[in-house]
Amino acid sequence: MTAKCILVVDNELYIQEVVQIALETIKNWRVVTASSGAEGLLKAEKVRPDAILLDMMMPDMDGATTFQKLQANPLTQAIPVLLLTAKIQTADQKRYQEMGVHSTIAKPFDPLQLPAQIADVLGWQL
Amino acid sequence: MMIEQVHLLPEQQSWMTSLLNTLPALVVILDAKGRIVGFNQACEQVSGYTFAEVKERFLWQDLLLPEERAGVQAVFEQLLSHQGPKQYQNHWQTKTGERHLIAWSNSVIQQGQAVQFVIGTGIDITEQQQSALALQQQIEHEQLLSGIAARIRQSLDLHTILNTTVDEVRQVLETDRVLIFRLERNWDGIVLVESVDTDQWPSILGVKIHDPCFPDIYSGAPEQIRASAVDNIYTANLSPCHQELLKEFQIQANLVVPIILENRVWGLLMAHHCREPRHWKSLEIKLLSRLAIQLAIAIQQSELYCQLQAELTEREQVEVVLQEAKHNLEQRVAERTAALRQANQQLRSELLTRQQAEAALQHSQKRISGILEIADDAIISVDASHIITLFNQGAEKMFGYRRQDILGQPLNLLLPDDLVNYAQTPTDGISTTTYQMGARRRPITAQRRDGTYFTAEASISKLQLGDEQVFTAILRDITDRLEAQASLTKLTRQNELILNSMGEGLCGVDLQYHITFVNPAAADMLGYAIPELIGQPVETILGTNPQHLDGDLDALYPFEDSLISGTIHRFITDEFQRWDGTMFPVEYVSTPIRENDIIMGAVITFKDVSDRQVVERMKDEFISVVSHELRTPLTSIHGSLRMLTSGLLTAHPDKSQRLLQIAVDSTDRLVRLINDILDVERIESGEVGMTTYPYNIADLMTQATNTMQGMAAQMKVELAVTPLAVLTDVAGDRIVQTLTNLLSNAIKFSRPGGTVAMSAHLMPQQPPSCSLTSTTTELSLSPADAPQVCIWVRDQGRGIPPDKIDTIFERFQQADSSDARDHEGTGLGLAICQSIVHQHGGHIWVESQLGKGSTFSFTLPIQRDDIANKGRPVT
Repeated sequence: MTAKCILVVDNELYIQEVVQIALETIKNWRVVTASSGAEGLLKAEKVRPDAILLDMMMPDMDGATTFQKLQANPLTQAIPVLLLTAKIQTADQKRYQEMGVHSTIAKPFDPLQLPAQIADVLGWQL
Repeated sequence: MMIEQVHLLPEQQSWMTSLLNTLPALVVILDAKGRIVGFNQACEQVSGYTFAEVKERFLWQDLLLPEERAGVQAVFEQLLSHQGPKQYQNHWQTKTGERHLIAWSNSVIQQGQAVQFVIGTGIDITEQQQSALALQQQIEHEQLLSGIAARIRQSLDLHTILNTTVDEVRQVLETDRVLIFRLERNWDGIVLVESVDTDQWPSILGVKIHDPCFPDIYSGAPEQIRASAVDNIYTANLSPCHQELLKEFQIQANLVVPIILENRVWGLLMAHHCREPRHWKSLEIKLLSRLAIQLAIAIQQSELYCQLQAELTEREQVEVVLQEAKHNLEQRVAERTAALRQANQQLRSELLTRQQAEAALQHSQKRISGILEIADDAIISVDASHIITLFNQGAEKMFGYRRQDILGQPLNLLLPDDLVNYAQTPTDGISTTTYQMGARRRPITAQRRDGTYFTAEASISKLQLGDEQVFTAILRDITDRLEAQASLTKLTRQNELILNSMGEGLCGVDLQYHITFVNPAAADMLGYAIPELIGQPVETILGTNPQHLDGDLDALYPFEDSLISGTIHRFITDEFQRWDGTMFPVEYVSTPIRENDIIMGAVITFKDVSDRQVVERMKDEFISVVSHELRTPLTSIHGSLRMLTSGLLTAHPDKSQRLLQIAVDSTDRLVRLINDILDVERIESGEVGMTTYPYNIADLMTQATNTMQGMAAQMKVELAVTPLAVLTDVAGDRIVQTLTNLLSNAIKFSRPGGTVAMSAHLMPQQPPSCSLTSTTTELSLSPADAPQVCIWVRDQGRGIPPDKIDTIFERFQQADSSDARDHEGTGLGLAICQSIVHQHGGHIWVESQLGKGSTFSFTLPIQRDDIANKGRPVT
């Protein structure tokens, strides 16, 4: 399969780096990073990644708002979004389902399993 | 007269002329063309013309009236054709302009068939005609008078008589207006009736007229008052005002006749000729005078009639009153008779009733005796001397006496000494007052035969039998009832104490959904006084949106289900409404109240769960924050280590190195976080010993600055620090921790390029009177206070919202705890700062303006009395 392009939106630089190293090393996917919701929206429209890994707790614009704006933009609304979040209480899970994201990946995650998790959710053949 | 054209001998002509001249009749001879050829002396005398003046002139040229010429010519033409009338009348106009009516007898002289001459023989009948006309007028006047007189005799309708009179007078006199004018006492007057052709002349009916001449004319003796006839108002010698008055009504000739009644002028009968002046004939004046007499009779008759009518009416009214009085009298007599009959009947009925009552009384007495015997209540009668005369079986049981032993004994035997007065008082009292059986019962103390006392409820009645008075007391032993009441009161008090001491609210509801009781806790929670809630609909306190039970949309509130089906509902979460309309969350239990298995109402037991909800929300937020803050470094550590141990990065030493660094940094972050969590707890609980040593505050400020310099550079924030050299005893590490926390927060909330300032100054030991609810603080200092140092950190960040200022120093609080938090941290930093400062005996506070920045300040008491402590800034 062709190399996928993944946009990682997270204000935590270390997590960005860990995800980037994992996806590039394990599957040779191209990883684009954004440190805020606003930067994520711009890069999603510009790069048109195959999927977006989106953090929920971010300054200024949180993950939910970023997701709504992605959905509202015809150029980005078709891009599948997976939440990458440390908030995984029951109430949070219910909220994520109602939002309409494809899936939620809980922090801490196993970077070795991350490509397979993404592919499984999105039905990609590895 | 010459008859030249007639073919006669001269002597015959002379003889004929003389003959014609001697005739008293008028003889005029016309030729066949109508020219006068014969004209005797009689003609000359009547016409004033001589024969010479009219000879050979046509008859109709000089002698005929213009309006009669055509008629005379037509008659002449008929005579020429032998068809003309033998008799004929026409007027001659004399030379002086007078008119004469001539009655002609015509004959013709013909030769063969042709008429040569027409001979007219006439007699002047002018005077005859005038006499006949005068006679005719007189007849008409007489007829008019007799007609009016007849109407006066036949009718009493004055208005009709007067109206008819003026109409007929106007017709007979052929004048323009006839009226009757009524004179008042003050000589003013009003037009009472009028006959006038309104198409030609104005009506003056109802017009009031004031003529100053009236008193002079009509105030004299009646026999001297004459009719006044004015033929021409302009030529008559009238006063100017009288003339003006007549002109106003367009009168040219005026005839006024007084109507005299009872030796005074009642009014005037007037005839007005408006079209032209008119000569009033004596006949006409006489007619009006006679009519005035007739009218006076009619008026007098009418007045008499009116007077008679009034008397009759008065008499009728008197008769009606008499009739009514008679009727009333008859009615009263009838009523009285009926009342007497009714009274009589009532007396009979009462007599019968009394007989029946006596019979019934005898029967009743027997029954009452039986009832008295079987009654459980004690029934005791005494006479006026309080001697017992009746003592039933119930009394025997109650008091322990046998009837035969107690009858004839005084009543106070049954009553203790201290209640003798009671026995005296009611009986003495009721000597003048009538008490009824079953009237208000009162408790009294009574004594049994065995000497024991008991409480009885008594009612006393008095019966007057002629001169004898009988007092009857009915007594009921209420010992058991009093004991039960005491138990009930005690139980009620216990229940009240329980209800009042309950922390939970309790609210009773009846089947009509009205509140029947509430306990103090419920009233307090709802903000009402208890009486304000009793009787109110339960909707007063319930939320407007009932929670449906088990998805059943038909169900309303759970308490309703308890009322209907008797179901107990527990742990219902809802909102109740306070008195001011605000809502508060509750958890309640709804339980039915049953009496003999019938649901009588429901009890709602509720508690305010606002605090619990706040705590739960805080817990959720804390878990959310802590889980995020823990999982974030853990994710980095775990991810880095998994990648490093997988062996995938053996060919990438730089990536391995980077991941190791990430793991180390994240571990440090995790350690800091855990230390914070532990620190705040330990400092608060006093587990951390604050061992103090003398420190220069300037050194501590510099140490904290150096620690945060790296972070500031990374965030592109400038640190502007002015250390203050002052010695004091503090826990140095903890003060540095406080300063680094404050600096870290300030840097995190600053924009790149911004400045964070830190400085200190000396101040008296006086806690700042700052209100943490306001964003500004004013210090109120007393010079007598001990000195202290105030250290502050100021940023140019976005500031703190006013509603967050209150809680910013509490644990796990952050100005923003949503997913959009702007920084890492547990929300424990400021709580740790506050704990450290409080442990040192200082105070910490914040001043903030949204959009402009915040200043965090804290004070530390200066423990050392050092002469060097002058607060020198360190450069």
